[in-house]
Amino acid sequence: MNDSPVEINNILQRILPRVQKPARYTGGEYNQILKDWNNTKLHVCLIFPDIYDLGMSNLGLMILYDLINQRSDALAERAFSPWLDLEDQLRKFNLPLYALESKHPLKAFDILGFTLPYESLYTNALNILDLAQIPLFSDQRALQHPLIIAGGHSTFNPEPMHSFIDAFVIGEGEEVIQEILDVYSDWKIETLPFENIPPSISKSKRNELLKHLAKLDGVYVPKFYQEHYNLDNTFSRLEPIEPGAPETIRKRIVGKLPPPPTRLIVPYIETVHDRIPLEIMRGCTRGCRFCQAGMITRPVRERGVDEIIQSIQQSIKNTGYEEVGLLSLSSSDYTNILDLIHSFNQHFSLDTLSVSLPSLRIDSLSVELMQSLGLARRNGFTLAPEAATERMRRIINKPVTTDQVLETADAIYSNGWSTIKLYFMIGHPLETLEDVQAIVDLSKMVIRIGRKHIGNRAQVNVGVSTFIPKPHTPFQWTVCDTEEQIQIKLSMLKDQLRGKGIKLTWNPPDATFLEAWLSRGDRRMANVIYQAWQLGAKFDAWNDQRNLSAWQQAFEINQIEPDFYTHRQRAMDEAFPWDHISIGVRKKYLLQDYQWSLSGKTRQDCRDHCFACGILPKYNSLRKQNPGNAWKCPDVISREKSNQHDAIAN
Amino acid sequence: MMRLRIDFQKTSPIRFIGHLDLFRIWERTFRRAGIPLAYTQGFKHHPRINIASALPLGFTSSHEIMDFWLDQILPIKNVLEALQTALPSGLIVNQISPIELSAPSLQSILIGSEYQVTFLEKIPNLETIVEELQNRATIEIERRGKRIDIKPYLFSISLLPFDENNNQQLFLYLSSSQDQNARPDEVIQAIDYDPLDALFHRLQLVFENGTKTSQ
Repeated sequence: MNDSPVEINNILQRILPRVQKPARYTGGEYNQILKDWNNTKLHVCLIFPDIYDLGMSNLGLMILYDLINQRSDALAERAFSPWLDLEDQLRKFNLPLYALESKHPLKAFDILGFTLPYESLYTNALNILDLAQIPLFSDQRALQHPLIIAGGHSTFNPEPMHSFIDAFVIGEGEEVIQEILDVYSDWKIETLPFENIPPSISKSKRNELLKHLAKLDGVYVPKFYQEHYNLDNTFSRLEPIEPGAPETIRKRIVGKLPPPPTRLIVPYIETVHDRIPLEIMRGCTRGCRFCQAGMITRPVRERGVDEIIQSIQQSIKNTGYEEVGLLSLSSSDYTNILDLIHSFNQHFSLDTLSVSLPSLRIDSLSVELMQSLGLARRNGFTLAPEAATERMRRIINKPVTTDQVLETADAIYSNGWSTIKLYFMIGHPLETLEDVQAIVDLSKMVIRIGRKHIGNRAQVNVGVSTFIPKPHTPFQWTVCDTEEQIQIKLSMLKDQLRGKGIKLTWNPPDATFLEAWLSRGDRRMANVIYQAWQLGAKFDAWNDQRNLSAWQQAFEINQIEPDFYTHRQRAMDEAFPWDHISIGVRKKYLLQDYQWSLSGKTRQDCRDHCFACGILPKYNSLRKQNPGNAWKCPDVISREKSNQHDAIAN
Repeated sequence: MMRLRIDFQKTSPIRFIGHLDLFRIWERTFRRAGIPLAYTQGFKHHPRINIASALPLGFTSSHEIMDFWLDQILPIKNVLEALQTALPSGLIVNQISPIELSAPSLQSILIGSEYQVTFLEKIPNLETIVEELQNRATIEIERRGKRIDIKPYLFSISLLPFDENNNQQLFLYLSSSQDQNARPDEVIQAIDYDPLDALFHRLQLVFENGTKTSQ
């Protein structure tokens, strides 16, 4: 058996010269934490199921790494998907997948925590379990196997992965991870030594752990639930079958954002976001109806300017990074954005520290912000109108006027930028071909403005993705475009958005459909995922790796019609497979918002006016513990008043 | 302005880091250490760091040489101490010394490199093979699609004692000047041995006037 860290390392030294970018697999980076294995009680491995180069830019993973390693009784290490070349070598040498820090095989850990921010990582997660030589299905695992947990945005519909994950963590992990470790620790002490447990009760001992976990707020243990379907194959309900398993699992949030990690691991090789990630705000009040992140990360909580500046200073000292990303879903909405930029410029020299400020609103203030940050003009300026007609933007609740787009473009080109990136989506509900044509027209108007200012140097890069009706959004009742519709729309764009100064990029329809099936699926999808993986599907997020025919075959084997998930308009009263997951926002509110959208009615930013989405009553006590300005919801109001608000909103 | 020359080791934990990545690692190490590197002028600012010779990915080294420039004059002792606290594992500083600002660039005075090659698979008759190689008129290898003769760049080759794992080892002294150079893995390929089954370690760099880094 090649199972000890020493043996694993010896074999690695022979196989790493044979793979691309071997430094992905060595660990040892600056600020890596390597604890004494034998003197630490709890061993956790955090896993991002794609390659190192992507995974090392995942902020959630870094936050949990930092928090777990602060505990004296626990250690956290990391693992990522090996690229195809290393996978071949691992399989050839029967070498189990290992963690970067200590080179212990994953199967030696107590807990494996997968971060699943998007659905196209699912087959990679299965592949990692397989490479780790751990049974894929939860019910095949016994005491000697690690507990497999998962969290991240895609797990707000956990059902497609319910067979493989022992426990899902719904929502923000900072506090609940501590509770999970505490529960695990108590159970482990009670149960040790594992070797003395007879195999006949090994699974029931493991079940005890899951029962304890199911009692934690925000933890979902799928095996304690039974699903039911209607005669027409639609989902009926999920029934708790274990005493103590809650009917609904409410997402966890933190009342106040904890201090950001500043002792970040500095990768030896370049990663996608090779910089200090600093979350200035969590949540978004804009309410764009297609945006799952905007719905599931409510309420908005901000960090103070001083905390941000001090954290950046500390991070530079600890890492030596030359760039910082100020992260949020909508930078312009950060309350003290001008103060922040002013303070930033006072404390840092832009010659030695560059900054990125993503997700800016379409207005002239954004241009001023970018200018005062001396942002690199060669990178271009990004605007995301998402739709090209005012009608469509009212439907999706991104009520920007076309004049605003054009005025902002004017300000951008006249202030020295030569490239504007415009992001649109096709396939929105009620979209017509006129709305798609408008994408062409608007892009051409923008390039004309550019030419007026800087002639032929002006460039417009148009990025087009396809709308997916994501769970927990107001659009969850609606359908995806069919492939035929998408192709017609894409060819309109491809035919017209070409020539000097214009570049068009788009998402391939197969990527859209895969994401849609996986995000909207129910428990029946689990076998499809398993089959697809067996048929060779992995790296589904990679356009050059995605294997759609494996997926189609997997659907056929399971006699499931994929269109059932994506091309079927839902009845207003249909139960969804994710209804047991509560994001704090009421389903009725989402439905109302959907109905508003169909009549072109917009909903203003809820910082200005509470529409009673449900967050405040659901997290009432948390809000009371954190009064003042950190939350951007108005202060808690009495039930009576809240009902009045409901009446107004209705 | 101050110019300093650093002699460092690149050891096994970071042997899989390539030249460009190493450059960025140094840049971040200096920033962590709070040592203000001078920056080049121009559209994109780069710190002034100059590494004598790119060490191929997978190689370790006892003596790599790099010059760097500071905007201010600092005591060398302080620079060394600050660097020591900020180095990633696997990078070891042997020595730092001041260099005249007008001194020629490292690349322009580099002559050759001495390497130790460790064979992880047994080679029967290694002695004969080495002898044969020495007597060959040309050693043709392929580099970026072109056939070239590296025999003129092979200054010296000899057997070394076995290592602690009883692996055979070779000593190579190869030309490293800018236009005329050879890599040890190219020499190994010429004897039909897969370089992926060997460990390469640079013992030292040799500069004009016979200065060796280990002296």
